[in-house]
Amino acid sequence: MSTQKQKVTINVNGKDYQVNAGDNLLAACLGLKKDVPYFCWHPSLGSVGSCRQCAVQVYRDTDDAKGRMAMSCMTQVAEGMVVSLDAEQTTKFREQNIEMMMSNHPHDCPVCEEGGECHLQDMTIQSGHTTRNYTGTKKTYENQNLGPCLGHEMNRCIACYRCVRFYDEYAGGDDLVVLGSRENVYFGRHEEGTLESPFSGNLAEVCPTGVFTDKTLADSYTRKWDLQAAPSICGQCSLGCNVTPAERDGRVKRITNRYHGQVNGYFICDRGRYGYAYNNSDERLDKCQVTPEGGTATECNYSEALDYVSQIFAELGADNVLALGSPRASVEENFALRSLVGKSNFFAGITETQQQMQSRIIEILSNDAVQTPSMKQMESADAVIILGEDLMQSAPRMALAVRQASRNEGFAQAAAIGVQRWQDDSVRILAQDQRSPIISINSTGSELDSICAHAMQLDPEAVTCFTQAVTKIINAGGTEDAGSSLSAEGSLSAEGSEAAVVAKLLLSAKRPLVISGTSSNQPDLVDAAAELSIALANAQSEKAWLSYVLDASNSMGLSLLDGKSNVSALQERLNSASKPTALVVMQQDLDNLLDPTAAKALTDQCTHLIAIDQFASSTSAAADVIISAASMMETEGTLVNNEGRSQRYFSVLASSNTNKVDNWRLLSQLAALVKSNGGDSESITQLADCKVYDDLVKLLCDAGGAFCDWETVAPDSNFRVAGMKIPRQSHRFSGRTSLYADEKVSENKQPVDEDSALSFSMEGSPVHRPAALNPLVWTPGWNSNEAINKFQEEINGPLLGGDPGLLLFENPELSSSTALSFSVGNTSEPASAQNTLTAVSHARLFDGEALSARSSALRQRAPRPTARINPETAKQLNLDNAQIVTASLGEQSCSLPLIQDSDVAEGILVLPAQVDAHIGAHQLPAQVTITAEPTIETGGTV
Amino acid sequence: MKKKTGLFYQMYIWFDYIYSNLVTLWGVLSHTFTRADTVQYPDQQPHLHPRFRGRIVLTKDPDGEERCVACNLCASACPTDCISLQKTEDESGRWYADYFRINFSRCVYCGLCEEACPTYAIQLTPDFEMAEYVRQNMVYEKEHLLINGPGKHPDYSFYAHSGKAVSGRQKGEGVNEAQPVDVRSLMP
Amino acid sequence: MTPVMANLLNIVGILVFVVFGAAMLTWVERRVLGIWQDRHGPNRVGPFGTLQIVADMIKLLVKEDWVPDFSDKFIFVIAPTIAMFVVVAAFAVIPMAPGVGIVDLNVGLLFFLAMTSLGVYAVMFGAYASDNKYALIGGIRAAAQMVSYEVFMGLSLMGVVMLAGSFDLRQVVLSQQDGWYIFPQFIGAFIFMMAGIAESHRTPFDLPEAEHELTAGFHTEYSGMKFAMFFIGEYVSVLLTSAMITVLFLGGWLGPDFAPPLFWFLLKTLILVLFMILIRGSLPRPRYDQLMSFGWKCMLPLALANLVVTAALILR
Repeated sequence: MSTQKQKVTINVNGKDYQVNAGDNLLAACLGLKKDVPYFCWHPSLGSVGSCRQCAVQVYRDTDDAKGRMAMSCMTQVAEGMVVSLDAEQTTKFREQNIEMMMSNHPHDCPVCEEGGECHLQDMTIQSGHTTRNYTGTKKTYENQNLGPCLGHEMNRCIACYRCVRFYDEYAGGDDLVVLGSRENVYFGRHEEGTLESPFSGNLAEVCPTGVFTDKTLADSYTRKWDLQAAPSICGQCSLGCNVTPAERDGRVKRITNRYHGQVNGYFICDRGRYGYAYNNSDERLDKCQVTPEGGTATECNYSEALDYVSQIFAELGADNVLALGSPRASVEENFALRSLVGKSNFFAGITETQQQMQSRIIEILSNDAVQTPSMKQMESADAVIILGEDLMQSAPRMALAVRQASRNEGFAQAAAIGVQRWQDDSVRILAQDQRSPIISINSTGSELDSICAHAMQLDPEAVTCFTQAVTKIINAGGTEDAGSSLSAEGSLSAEGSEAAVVAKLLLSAKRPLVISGTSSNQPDLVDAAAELSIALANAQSEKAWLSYVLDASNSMGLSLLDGKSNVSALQERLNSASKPTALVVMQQDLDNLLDPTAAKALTDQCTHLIAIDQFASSTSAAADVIISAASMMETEGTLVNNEGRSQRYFSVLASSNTNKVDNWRLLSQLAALVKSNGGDSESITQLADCKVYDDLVKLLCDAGGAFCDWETVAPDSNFRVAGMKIPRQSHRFSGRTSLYADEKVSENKQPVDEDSALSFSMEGSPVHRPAALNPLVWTPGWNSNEAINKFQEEINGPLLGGDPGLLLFENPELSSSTALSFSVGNTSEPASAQNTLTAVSHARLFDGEALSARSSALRQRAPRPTARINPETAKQLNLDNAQIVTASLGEQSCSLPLIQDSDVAEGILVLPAQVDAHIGAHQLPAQVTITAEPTIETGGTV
Repeated sequence: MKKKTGLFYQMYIWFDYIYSNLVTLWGVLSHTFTRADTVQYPDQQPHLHPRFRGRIVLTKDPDGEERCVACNLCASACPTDCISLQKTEDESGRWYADYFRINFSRCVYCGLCEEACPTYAIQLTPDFEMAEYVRQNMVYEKEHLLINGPGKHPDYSFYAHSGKAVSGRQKGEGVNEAQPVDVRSLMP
Repeated sequence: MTPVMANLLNIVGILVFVVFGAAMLTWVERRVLGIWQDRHGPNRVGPFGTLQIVADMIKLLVKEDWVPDFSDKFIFVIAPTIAMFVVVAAFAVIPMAPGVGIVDLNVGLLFFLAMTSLGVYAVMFGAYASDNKYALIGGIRAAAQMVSYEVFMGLSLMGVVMLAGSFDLRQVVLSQQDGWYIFPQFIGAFIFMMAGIAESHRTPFDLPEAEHELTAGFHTEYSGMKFAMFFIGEYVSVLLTSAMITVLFLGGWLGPDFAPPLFWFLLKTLILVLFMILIRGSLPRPRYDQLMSFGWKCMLPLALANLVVTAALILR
């Protein structure tokens, strides 16, 4: 990736600049931080030259006084090019052009959700169009209801085509189309209904005007300048996309994409965008609750709850308090919990299988032979094999990256005839349906299958076997002969020939990428994927590219902190405990880790159960102390994503506004109480001394290992720009002398943030904000998110000062050069008993994650949970006519509508993995007993 | 430019200094015999012009609907940040303010909110008698601000021009609006 | 009436007149400025607002009389006392009318000059004791300004002394029976007036307390009655300057016989006071360097020239 780009010199407005050869003039000028208006061009979508707004004057040489007008987005930079951005002819043209675009634009900016962050507004001002000359009637359009996430107001459209180019061509959606003809084009669906793509939310950011707007923001609308924002990380999956949550008056109003050159680029998925609503939920645990023995539950404040818990510590002895961490809590929170109870009493809140997989993944990714690419790097892979993951459901942003990787074939063909990759339309016309090979091997089909060169549905164990077979073929030289000879030996199953096809596809690529994950709960698959990537690397003599999708936002961080413990170890520890024991469960529901019976048994074994969580769960129901936890929007911390990139998030809500205390601070205060009661272990003392967040970070640094450079993840709280903090509010933030004037006319002091270099106010540095601490993308004249151009080193490049975050696997302490050894999968005999089937879980995007599933917009978008089965298997099991099926595992059972789906592997039953599923994803795959009911009954359990 | 230094010029300058001071003294003294511009408020009420910038009101459009669409421009224009509001909307999609609060103990009556208002909703009126013994009473909510009339621009209705469909005014029924485009039509 | 009684009556009467007059002057100034600025001025307390000073006095008396912790307390307290004392003491030598006046010194004029030059100590002490940057800058300005203007204040009077042949102020008045000295000594009167304004640091020469740049200058830290003493001291100083001009240049109590001599004295003084208020109400404040160069480069040569010409004419 570090290849030095070739440079050419161009002269812009009389000054020479070095720009990347092959770039288009618009990107080059914007990269030079010049102001050039544009609409249809998008840094990620490339150029089509349809809006005519980016006209510039190009001269033959410096002596040429006349020049000619050119669309900068369609003009490739050339050595010695002379360009003027403010020649009279072009400025006049741009002004007239935008006047034409504005002639039908409605007069509704005051009631438009885009107003104040509108690219059209910015460009109109920039182009100098101020007065409308058109006096005729304006066109109007009927709008469509596009579901709970996006608003639609077609009047505002300027027909730049960005929406369909993103939605259909970039993200692979098929239900947003351009309808009508001539100047009457209409961007919408064939009929009203929810936009189905999980990337539809990006339309609100891609649309340069207010046709598509964020409906969840509109419900309680606040202008961009009035929002208080903070740099944050998405906590809804393991990819760690950078986001900017924004709040006003104590309520999170929206999440927008925060550009990161390596992780999410310009786009995030809808789970990340709309999942924030959990933070405002009425179901949040707002108060702590203590239930004394034999007493009734009483609500209390933090200090009372902490006093009570410290009493438990004193009563039982600190040695008898155990703790269960969480993969969705930050590294700091887990570390603080571990410090409180001691290393030997801390258990990671994951199942044994998950722990095995995650520690093995860390081992593999630490190996020098393996490199895990960022999503930006993935886009340059020219063959991708996805093993046992439905990326569209478990890690959609990665699926989007894979989709871009599939275009590399087209880019390569275009490059061969000298067409640059930003010539979007030309490249697409040239490539047609030719794609770089994407191979998906999973137990169910995926929405990504439509671009797959090869998509196979196999049962989970067969996925592993198939992968191993492909590896064998590649190791044997990769020819079809090798495949057939291996299959003749009997060491390959019947899919041998297909394995050979796959191997051939992969071997033909220069930069193949292997993607796997943990959602299928197959530890062998982790190994098999690594083995395959190393085999490919050996064949290509490059570093293996391998990426794993994990379960939760901080699964990687938790396993790096404590790779050996899991909930089963906790069970054993409790079984062997001789003294009364207390258990602290932080941000985890035991039902997500154990079956309900085992979970109940576990809680019963504890004398005291302390639950720290944002929402009530079966664990908190059994707990005698419930401590209300701050959400990611209310505290700061660090998450480690699936590629080992540790990224810090900062609170967007002031604690004085929410009455929530940072979880790590609670644990530190608890440590202080325990210490005053006589607990004198070193880790407790250290934790008790953590008064501000930096102290905790320092403590983690001292802990060493993967965390030795923890201070460098983001600037600390002492960081200042010219002596100033960085304001979370925009400089136009309004209403601060009246926002709370109904309660008290004299204003309160602005909340103080001693934990970060950000401040809860509008005072502070307007410029020179480091990328990791920038809550607001804004420069004069650029109020929309397009202002990001001014914050990048070059278009599509890293943010100024480097992309934030710290790659832990680049840490020499973690890397190991010993060759990896792989276990040979031992295939168990499939059960053959009547009416039993292997049930596998299928990840669900909109209701598959504990917190985002609380968002009502996502709830509405989640498809109806169904059980799915291959028609052949259904026939064998006489389930042809069954419409409701009941699957039973142990004492649990769930009844679901049965769908016959040929995209499901034979011999398995696919169960949905929504958060409140009766048979949890952690228990699968497993043999379930099936009973069928032929008719649909109302009130069937879900 | 060359500095003038001649004796006569210097004398002229000094004469000018003295003369201008004497003119000033005479000018002020002559005001002994002019009437006072101020009036004996509250015994006498001053005459306030219609454009006087006093107490702020929220007006209604000719149809009797609230003019304020909660666009937030007044709040952002306000130099003392004394306006805060929250947008909400009715079933038909018409925007209005859920709450609209002005902290008059901070207001400087500069009128920038009125200038910023795209719908003529917020207007300043010739009323300045707003003193209170309790500062908290200076905080006005929407019900205190809303008046039952259009104020200075009696005929203007924002939604007639906006192109947005609201109850009682569908797409194409506004001023200078064409009927909605028929997407299915192929007619030229 | 015994001489003792007459003296006592003189002392008490003049003291009361001076202090009360200065206090009323605050009301007069505000009303007159109001008239000139087309407004009303204080007209609510008492008839025509004449009791405004009572209201102000009550306010100043009940205000917290704060001595800052960081100040030099002794000097802080005596500074306003000096300010008040020197101007009141200077009134001792003013002959208001035949038989009205406390003491007739044969060096009355020198006594007056000595007392006014002491006034600079009040300002300097106050500024120094306040331990405040604004006060200090104000004090430095005041010292420089008062010392500078004192020089030609004295010189401007020497013409009158030469004409009258006496330092005794009563003699000066009596020697004007043939004609007021304002006519031969117009330049001297003008310079003395300027210097008097500068000495009492009133607008336009109020740079020691220029509120635009120095908050309140040397009395920034003063409040309550101590502030009032500086404040009233300034008005006494205005009265003093006016009275001195009356005595030296306008023939003191001399006037037609249909009114008592004291009336003529007071009338002339009042007109001068009003003139000083008019100056205050109309002229802008110069820059500090302009003030100093005006004093040294314009007023001092003018005073010396006046002295030389007067002397030459007398010795003719």
